[in-house]
Amino acid sequence: MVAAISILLAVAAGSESAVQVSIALLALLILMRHGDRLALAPVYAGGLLIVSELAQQAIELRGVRSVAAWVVGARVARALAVAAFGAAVGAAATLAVRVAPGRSVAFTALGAAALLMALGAITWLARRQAR
Amino acid sequence: MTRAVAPRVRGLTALCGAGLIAALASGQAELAIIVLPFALLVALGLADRREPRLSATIELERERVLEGAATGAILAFRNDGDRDVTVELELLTTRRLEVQPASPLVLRVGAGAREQLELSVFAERWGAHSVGPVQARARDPFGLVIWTATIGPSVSLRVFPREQRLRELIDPARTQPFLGTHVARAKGEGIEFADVRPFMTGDRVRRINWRVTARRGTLHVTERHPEQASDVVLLVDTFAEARTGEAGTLDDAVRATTSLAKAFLARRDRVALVDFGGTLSWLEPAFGTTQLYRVIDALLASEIAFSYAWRAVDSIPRRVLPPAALIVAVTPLLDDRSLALLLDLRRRGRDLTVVEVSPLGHVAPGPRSGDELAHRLWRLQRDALRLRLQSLGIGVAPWSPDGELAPVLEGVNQFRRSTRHAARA
Repeated sequence: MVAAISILLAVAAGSESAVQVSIALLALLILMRHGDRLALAPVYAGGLLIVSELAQQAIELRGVRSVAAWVVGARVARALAVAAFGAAVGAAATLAVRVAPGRSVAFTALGAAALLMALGAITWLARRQAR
Repeated sequence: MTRAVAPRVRGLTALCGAGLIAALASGQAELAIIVLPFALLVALGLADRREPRLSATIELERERVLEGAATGAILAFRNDGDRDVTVELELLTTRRLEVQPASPLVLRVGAGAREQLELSVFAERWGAHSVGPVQARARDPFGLVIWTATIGPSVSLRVFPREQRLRELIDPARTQPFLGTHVARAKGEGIEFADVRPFMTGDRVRRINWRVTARRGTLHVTERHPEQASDVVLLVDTFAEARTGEAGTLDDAVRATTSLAKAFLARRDRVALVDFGGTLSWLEPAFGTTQLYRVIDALLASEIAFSYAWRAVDSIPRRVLPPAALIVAVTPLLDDRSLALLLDLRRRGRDLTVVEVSPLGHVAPGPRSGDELAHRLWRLQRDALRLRLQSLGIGVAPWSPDGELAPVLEGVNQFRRSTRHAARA
């Protein structure tokens, strides 16, 4: 409830960063409450993405006097597609985790390397020029 | 178009990073799984490097409108790229133009397609305005990359001042030897009866007054007054103005000058224009509708340009101030330089009239106790100035912009007639 209200307040204030903080808070609260968090994580992940995208679009369209047809629908449809794809990938990751032998230094190092590569890739994508 | 990453990418990246680090630190995979779709979103959004290829055109239904009127505009976009683009656009216009629907607007243009918007442009104030270009902002399909550019042309829209119909105008003291509508004092070919005199060699037979000839027994001819045109110089004072918000005395002066120019030109007088202020500009005298449009175009560019320069009559070319011209000065009488010009013109024997655009509506007394007294003193000072000008034989027509101009001009005509009678006596 608290996180939901904070998302609404963030949208009302037009603050994108507040939306993301509220999404993070909502994610934490959801994970803390549920027992079988691993099984439900992909579903919650997809749902959080849709909430985030809807909140973001509400902020972007604030003050806009006229919106052509399908502008909102197209973006929501894309968000749903990414959410579904992300949930599917998340489900596959969940299966992999259940099958995996458990924590180890090697797996942790691999995870850290993957994290750094992912962040590096995002930075590179953000900085490269247009085609 | 200029590419920039949306600010929320940082937030999303931080969210993903926090989730992944927390997952690594705590060993709870669900923390990583819950941020996975966000990471996918960021990667997909940033991976798209295709720059939108947008172009825009603007067409106005009419390029000239009257103040307070509206005209339609069609804003057309073409997407030459290979994907659909959602573009947020803002139509840039000069001040005092209102566009409906108001910016910003969001439009979706398919790949290779053309979309158009119908807008209404309302002109609040006269002037040479421009509509366009368009400030366009396009996003990638996920809203993570923002492309901005200014596209399209800037189209000129000329808004003509509101004018009043004037049936009575200021009668000039002297006329010019061009065909016009004023009954001249000189005698010649015309309609108005002037005199009867004895026939002289060279007189035309058709001018013989047979009735008088029969009565007197010798040939007599009828003399008439010809209808001639006169030269009129409209002098607009742009040294200073009184302004409240969006309205000022310059706006009213331009409207009054337009009304006067239209009425004098319709009477087949030759009209010149002098914009006398921080910047000096002029139009030489000419007749007709073409001159009216030239005058209006020149007036549309009028603005108060602050300057310390002291200008005199000598700054104005002689060909713009014909010797026998009626000079009508449209001024709020706020600047000493314009007052000095008027006095100088009068001393040189010019036929001068002043249309005083009253600034009282823009200058209210302040809230303090002495402000009301100061305001009254200022008004008295203006009355004294008006009397001083009238004592020099300059007709001054104080005009409040929310009133009609015609009765004010009739008052000036009465003053001028009484001054001429007094001078003859």
